[in-house]
Amino acid sequence: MMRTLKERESFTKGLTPRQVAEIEACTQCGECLRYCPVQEVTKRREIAPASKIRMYRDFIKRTESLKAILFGDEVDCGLLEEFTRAVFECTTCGACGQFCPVGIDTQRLWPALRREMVRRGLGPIGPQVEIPDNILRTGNPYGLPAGDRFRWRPELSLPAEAEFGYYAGCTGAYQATPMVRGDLLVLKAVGLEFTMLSEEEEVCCGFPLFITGQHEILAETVRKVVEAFSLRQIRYLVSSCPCCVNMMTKDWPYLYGGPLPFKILHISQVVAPRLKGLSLRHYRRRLIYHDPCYLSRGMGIIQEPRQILRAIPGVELVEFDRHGRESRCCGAGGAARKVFHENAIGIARLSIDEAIQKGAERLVLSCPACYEKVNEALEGYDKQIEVVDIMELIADLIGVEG
Amino acid sequence: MLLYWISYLVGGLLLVRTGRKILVILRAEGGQTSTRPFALRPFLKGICEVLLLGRLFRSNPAIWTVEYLFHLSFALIMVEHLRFFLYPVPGFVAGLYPFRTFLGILMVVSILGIILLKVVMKRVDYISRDNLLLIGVLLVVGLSGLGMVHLLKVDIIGVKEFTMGLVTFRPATAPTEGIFLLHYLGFLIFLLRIPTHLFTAPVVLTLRRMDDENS
Repeated sequence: MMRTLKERESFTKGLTPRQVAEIEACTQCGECLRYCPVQEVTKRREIAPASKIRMYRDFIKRTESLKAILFGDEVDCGLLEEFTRAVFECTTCGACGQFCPVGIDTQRLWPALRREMVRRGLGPIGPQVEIPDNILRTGNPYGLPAGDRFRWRPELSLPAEAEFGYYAGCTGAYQATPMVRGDLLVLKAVGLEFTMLSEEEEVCCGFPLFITGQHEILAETVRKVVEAFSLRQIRYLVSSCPCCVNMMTKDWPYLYGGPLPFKILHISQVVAPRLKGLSLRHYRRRLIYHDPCYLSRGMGIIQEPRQILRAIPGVELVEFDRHGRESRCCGAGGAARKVFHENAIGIARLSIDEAIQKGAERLVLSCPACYEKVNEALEGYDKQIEVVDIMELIADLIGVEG
Repeated sequence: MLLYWISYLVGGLLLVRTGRKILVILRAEGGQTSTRPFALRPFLKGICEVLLLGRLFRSNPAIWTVEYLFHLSFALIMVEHLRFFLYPVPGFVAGLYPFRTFLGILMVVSILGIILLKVVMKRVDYISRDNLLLIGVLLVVGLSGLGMVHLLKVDIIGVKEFTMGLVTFRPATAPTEGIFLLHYLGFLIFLLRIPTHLFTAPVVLTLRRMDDENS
């Protein structure tokens, strides 16, 4: 028997007018099907971006159409549950929106729809539920001790105040430590005077809360970090994590309640113009660079990482078929990697396969989530390629020791 | 007289439905938006994107070809049909009259092309019932329109009296030829199920282009 939901709570109030217009604007053409990584590995129809939008339209129709208001209607609970799973299974990579003929900004839309499901008590799913509590207790979404946050940090003397601040981010600090270690070594090598927060002060940027639709403690979390960096008189905040940089640039001003007292920069934007003074070791290798979704599609930062890699003498840089704004997700996005592990591994292996097929000797990443997931996908896989983070590689070629 | 009442009812429902959709969009209260301040140049580029369906072209030139031909021929046919509702008939409307058969064939062929490409690209499973209904209705409207011009002639004076009566609220006797009724009722069904993307997609496309230009 079909279960139905008699609630009349709006499905559009929590969205922006633009997002509601986007839902109505989908022509159901199905172009997105070719680019959705989850669709690619699962082949399940309901996960398709157009299917999700069709389901959500049905909820709007059943609660807000004139017919529903005059004669009443009911939302199909089964469909609501199916939608919830589909929207949380999404990696929120935004490839569907990049190729959408109508230009729907899905990288922003899916998190907003997740939030609507959370408001109804249907989401988040799996271990995502623990994220707010973990952040409150430990400052990071994984619930790992705050005291361990900077265990990887090389011995560097950092000033209490500086023009630049460096934010490591939780995934880098706990799960992709060679990457953030490389960040610090390179920033020092290019002569940047920067400061950092203490282990207790540097808490989550809020992205895991935002992306899983759990907004209760979001503004408070953001305020903590902004105020802590403000006290250090920084003018620029630098991070290597694409999700953090995206969150800081697009959402922090809104959550903070006004313009930030500093500008946000991705580490590649800081390092690329300062590379000239460095002497990089000759490195005769064929590299392939993977554009992280939230850096390329989300922030439009595409050239800077390539400038850095091309500055390495001897390097041959090859490209994935889909690169730049059109890049394919590595599988780690959308806080779905811990819940839909097999999808994430399957998607990561698509990039591994293509990198090997292109003859690349090393796969260069610049996202901690990608770093963690691609390394995990290599475990037990018959195809192997060396994986390295861009700053880890540069630090190695500069020859700096931590 | 019944056809008049049905027409006004459909027109009324269309207005109410569109008004309701606009209200739902405007009532949305989510605070965060990635839209940047208005700038003329990106806005104009956005308009061009809408007129040329530029994003679809970049994504899939084959689909773009059939979709563009469909939208263009359909739009021109709508303009050409204004001759039934205006007196005197403006020059730009009358100027399309010699091309009506060509445009009708183009519309039908492009719809068939869309169906064919959906089959070839294995997207049939993903087509919604609404879209299937629309495609079917537009095929019926297109084929019956062509049929009226070339196969089963209808009383064109009667049609004009009927349509002018419709817009001036002075009902005249409606034509009773089956093919006309099929064509007209098919169009009324289209109006009832008219896809909202016709109104929202241009706005979304323009905003996205403005975002991309500014980033």
